[in-house]
Amino acid sequence: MNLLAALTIGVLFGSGIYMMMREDVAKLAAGTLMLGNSAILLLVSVALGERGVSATTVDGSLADPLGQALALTAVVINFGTTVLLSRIMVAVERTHHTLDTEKLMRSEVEDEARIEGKTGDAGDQDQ
Amino acid sequence: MTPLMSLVLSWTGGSVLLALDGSRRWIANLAVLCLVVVALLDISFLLLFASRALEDSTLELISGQWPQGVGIRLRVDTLSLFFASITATVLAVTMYHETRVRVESRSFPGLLLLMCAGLHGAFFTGDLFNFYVFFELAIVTSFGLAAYGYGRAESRGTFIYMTVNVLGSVLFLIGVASIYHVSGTLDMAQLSGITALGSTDVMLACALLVTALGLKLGLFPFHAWVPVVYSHARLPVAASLAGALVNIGAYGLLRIGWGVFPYATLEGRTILLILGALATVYGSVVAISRKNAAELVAYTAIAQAGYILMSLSIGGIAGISATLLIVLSGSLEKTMMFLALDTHGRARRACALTGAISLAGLPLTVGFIGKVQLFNSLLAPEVTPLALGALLLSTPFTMTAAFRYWQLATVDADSATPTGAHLLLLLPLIAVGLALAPEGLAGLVQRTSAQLLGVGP
Repeated sequence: MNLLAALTIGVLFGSGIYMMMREDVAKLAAGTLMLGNSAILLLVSVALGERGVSATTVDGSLADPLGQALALTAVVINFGTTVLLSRIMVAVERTHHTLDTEKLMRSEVEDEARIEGKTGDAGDQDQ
Repeated sequence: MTPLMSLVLSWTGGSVLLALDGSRRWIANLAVLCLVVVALLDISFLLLFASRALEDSTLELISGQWPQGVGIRLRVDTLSLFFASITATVLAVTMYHETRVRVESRSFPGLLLLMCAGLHGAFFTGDLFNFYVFFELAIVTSFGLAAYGYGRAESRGTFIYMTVNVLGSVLFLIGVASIYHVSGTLDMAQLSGITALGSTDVMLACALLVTALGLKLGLFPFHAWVPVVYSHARLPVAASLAGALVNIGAYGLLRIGWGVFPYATLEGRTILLILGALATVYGSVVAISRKNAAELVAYTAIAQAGYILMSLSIGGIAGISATLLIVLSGSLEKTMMFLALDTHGRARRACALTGAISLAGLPLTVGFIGKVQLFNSLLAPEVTPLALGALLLSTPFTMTAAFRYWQLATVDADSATPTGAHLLLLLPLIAVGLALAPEGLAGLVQRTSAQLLGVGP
């Protein structure tokens, strides 16, 4: 059970990082979701019967309720953050009409060049 | 009437106001009133606790009246109230500024009050996971605030901010899970009493926690998103992020570092010192080249976080006093500097000037007091010359960056009609007033650091 949990956490974490490096903002959001789930699974596995420090030691293989409570809290927080992330993704799509990270990066550079160009005159006044 | 009243007030106020339409004038004014009451409560309790003996200047209570060891412990001491006062003041001024200029979104007052509640909860809690929960509450409200307006720049900036924060949350959770597995408890007081913890386990968990705090708040070397997000978000939101939210990093490092795991912090202090030194030099050098005033302030925020890391790593009463003073002056400065860019008229000139002078560390401002205390703490013989060298190297660059900010901020100070935000002048008055009577402030921070370290004053 320990080995299965550890392998799953590793696979989730690795897949999450891999997804975060894709070229699409939606895949990035999916990657963050997977990373969050790997951390939550780690919290659950801390509470597993064979390794957890159980509060009520009936026969030793009881799962630890505190660890599971931590995992529940983390699930709720992760859920809220994911909902908000989706809303921001919609806002990005509406304003830029693309979800491609390359195009978003280019528009970032353009915006910054525009700001630099606008205030460049004011900054060079004393030369 | 306990100090926890400020937490309860901001929490219920935030929840109620979030359900109402915050773009109406009377609701926004109600939010300002609520935040002002919270700030006054915090400051008066801080002064009250600071005047009592060290033993009974801590308020502890188990929430829900559960027995000891089962319920979550809340703990209010001078350090909590110090940070809570700064946060409440900054947020009150930001909310007031927003009502003067415009409130466009119906959720802005509620979100700001909930950020205040989250920060107060994080400062007042004595449980490690509860700290995480309240921290997340404050951060999620800042996500909503950073997207205020939903324009091009705001959406992009918020997406970057949220992604980096989720990474930080994941690392924080892994760290907390490790600590729980190794020690079996999450209570901060119990954790600091467990000396049988193997130092490598604790070091790994502490490294994860410090990395997570750095990612979420933009401390060096995880600072790359800070200029982007601060310049893309609306200016009052940037003021609340830089003036209030980032203090939780300093608080977390102080409480979890020196309060709960002092041995791990002693072992890791060299790295913190090196990171802090690099941050100050990097931040102040790059700040000079910025043409956008908000980005400039963001880079000076990175440099200030470097000062905090340096003085934290020195530790002891001198180092922690310096940290507290730099936190105070940094918050006031950032709020003044960001809000000054959004107003016009006399308030803009006063706030920009005082912010710039305080950033440069010139006398008659609270920034000077902080720099002097930092300098004093670096003069201790066991501190490496690296830190002193970094401080001396970054000071001229910081002064130039402050002057550059003042240039950028006053170039069109009177171009629009004054917005009538006269009470913003309160911030420069506080910054100068605290510097005119520094003995009280110095005594306060020394008492606070003594209480944190558990030594006599």
